[in-house]
Amino acid sequence: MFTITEYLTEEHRECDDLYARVEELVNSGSWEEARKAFEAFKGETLRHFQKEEEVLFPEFEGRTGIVMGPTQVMRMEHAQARELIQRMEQALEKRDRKTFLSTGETFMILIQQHNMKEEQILYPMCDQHLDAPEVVQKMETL
Amino acid sequence: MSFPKGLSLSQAPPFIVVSGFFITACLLWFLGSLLEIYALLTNRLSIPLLTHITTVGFALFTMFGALFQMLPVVAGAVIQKPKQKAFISWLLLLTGYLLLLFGFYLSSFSALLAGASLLFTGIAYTSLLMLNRLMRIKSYTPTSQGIKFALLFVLIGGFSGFLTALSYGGYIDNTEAFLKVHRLFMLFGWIFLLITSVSFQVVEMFFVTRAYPRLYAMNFPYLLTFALIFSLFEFKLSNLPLSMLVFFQALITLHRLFTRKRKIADKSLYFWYLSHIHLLIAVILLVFDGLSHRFLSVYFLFFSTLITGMMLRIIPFLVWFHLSNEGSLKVPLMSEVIDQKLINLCLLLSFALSLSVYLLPIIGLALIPAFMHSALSFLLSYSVIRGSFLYFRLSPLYNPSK
Repeated sequence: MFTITEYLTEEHRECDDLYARVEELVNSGSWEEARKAFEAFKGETLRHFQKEEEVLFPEFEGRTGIVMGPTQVMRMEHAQARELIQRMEQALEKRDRKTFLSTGETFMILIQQHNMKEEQILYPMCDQHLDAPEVVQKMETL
Repeated sequence: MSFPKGLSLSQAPPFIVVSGFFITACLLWFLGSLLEIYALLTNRLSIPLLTHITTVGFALFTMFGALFQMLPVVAGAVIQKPKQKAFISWLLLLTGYLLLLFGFYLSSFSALLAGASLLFTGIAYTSLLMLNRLMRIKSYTPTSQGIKFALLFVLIGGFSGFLTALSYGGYIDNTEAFLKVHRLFMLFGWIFLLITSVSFQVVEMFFVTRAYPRLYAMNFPYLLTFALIFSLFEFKLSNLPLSMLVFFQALITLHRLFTRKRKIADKSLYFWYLSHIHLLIAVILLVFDGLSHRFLSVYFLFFSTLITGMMLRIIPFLVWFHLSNEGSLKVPLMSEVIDQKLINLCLLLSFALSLSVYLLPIIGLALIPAFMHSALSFLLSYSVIRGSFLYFRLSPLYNPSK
């Protein structure tokens, strides 16, 4: 059975792989394939955010009583990431390679530093204080 | 229920803390290059002078600045009142550095000792400030584990540097022993270990590569400690374990970069390639030459190339990140903060500097690398200052109307 850290870290890596694929396709000008790959990347990333926002964060907040702490910051960064995904999607529709790659670069660094904080601070704390198998199960059923 | 004290993922330090250290580092590197040229022309260039221009003026300032930013992100260690504490650190380090440099340049023992004392005070203040926060938090990752060791080693390196300065004045004996500890712990225990600890996180995440083996990465600081202690002994090939460890780390990093999943080749990737090729060459020289001038010059290329590449990426991100968090109406993308052409030119100059250093034994004209150093550090300073000023121009904190 996965710990929360293992389960969600694995999802981070899957999203990274999916983004790397989109970036490669955009860079080579394979727009149609890039659009399909982007859909997969966007779907997976937003689903990951949903799992955290609808299951993990409320569980953490309920258990610890910390509502305006780390989880709030993570939600704010999710909002920033969603906005960048939207801008990437617009660039993809316009087949604007330069804007897509530039926005993607900003997205990538934002999401990596966000992931670092989750993987190194928040998830281990969740594992420490929550019933990991139960929380993973709840996220799976979303 | 207990939580690490000060845990807050929101408390990244203000932009001015990190940019202040970075701008200072770039300017000191550039001004140092001018001193280097002048010292060459007047036959007053010494290895300690040249060494400290790059290791303290450039690397130490950048690395402490980066740590102020990284501690909350990688370890959840938040330094309260970061502006005030960073200013104390900056002031001690800067005055210490300038006095030390004058001490070396003018061969003035009093300036040297005053500089070494202040510099060590600055290093001790900053590293203990950070260690104090870090030691309260369990290390879950190789990065936060490695940072703890690196901060401990910079403290040892700084203290042995201070003792070396005292021994120059005849106050204590054993100059050579203190100098060896100082060099090994600063070059490998501090600079190399900090870069490696950050690599464990950054390489995998930014370039989408396979992770470093966890057992290896978590135990890397212990392996390095063993290798450093081994190197302190005086016998043939005592540097071999250290060289092998560094060589392996450089190879494993290059392998991961070559086999990365993120195929797009942004310029920071080339800075990583170039710097790690320098590292491979430097450690080969270490085995046969020890801590020689040749080794030092190639080792400087390793970390200055990497720091240059990382700085050109970190500043644009921080500008975007802070403006975005502050709700600025106009938030530039990273590519709009530092022009791609400037980054390309910095890369080109890094190649040129590297080439001029390698060809120095053949050409024999030290002014060429000195001019390359000057050109690169000028361009880096211009890029970093221009990018940082964009933040101050657009930030609602500094311009309430925006």
